[in-house]
Amino acid sequence: MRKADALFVAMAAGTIAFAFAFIIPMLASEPVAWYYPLEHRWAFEVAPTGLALDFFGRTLQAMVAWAVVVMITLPIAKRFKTLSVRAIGLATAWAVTAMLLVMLHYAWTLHFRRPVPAEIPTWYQPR
Amino acid sequence: MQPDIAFESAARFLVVLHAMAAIVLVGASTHHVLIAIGYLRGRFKVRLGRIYAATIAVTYGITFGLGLLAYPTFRYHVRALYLDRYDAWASNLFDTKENFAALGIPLVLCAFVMSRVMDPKEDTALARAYAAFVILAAIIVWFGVLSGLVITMTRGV
Repeated sequence: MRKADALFVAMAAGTIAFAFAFIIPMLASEPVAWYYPLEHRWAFEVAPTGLALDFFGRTLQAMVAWAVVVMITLPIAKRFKTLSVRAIGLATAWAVTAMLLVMLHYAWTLHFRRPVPAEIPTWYQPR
Repeated sequence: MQPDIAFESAARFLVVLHAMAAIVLVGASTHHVLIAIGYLRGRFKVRLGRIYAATIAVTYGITFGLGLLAYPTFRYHVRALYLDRYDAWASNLFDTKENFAALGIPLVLCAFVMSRVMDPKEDTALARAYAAFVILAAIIVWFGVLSGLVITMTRGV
């Protein structure tokens, strides 16, 4: 397979892996790295015990999944002789659909979320 | 006692830099869409496409990185103490924006790599795939910039 075709297949597969690795902790209650900004510590857990951010952990996890899938797919794709126009179209459609589904899930879930505000501390001065 | 949060003292400066990088990013993304649509219409400005793809890859990384540094301060002082209580819709919009921004990373990387290796004159199927990735990445960038403006107008760091 030509270099450009093989790279595209690897990138499309990586995009799908990124999308699913990014959302999987939310859907499957999988543990992920949480950062506690007030305590300056990290924890690998399913749900936080205080004010914590899972965004760093989820992004890192998705980037690792992307890198692994690209590195695995690229040499496999290079072994094939050709890539048809239909296969390129399918790879594009799968990657774009995976992205759109994950985006739609976040948009839908977050639109209806009712966040719980933190307790107002004694030092707090409203601006 | 007020808590000590990473990069809190520099948070406003980081957000200004974040906005400056986003201005470059939204311009380059828009131009890149026009170049990619041009490939589908038989206008091949390949060198310009490569320049925009590289510009986007760099500015996306810078914008995303600066946003990550300012995020802990925003999460506590803006979201937890204010938005979650008074403007929950802005909290939700911010989280939508940040998740979309992360999802843009593989699209931008793919567009950058493909801009280097493909020949849109010969590879019409790859050019269509490239255009799809570039357009979706630009939609994410525009959404991020506009929602970021709205959120900052509601409450900033």
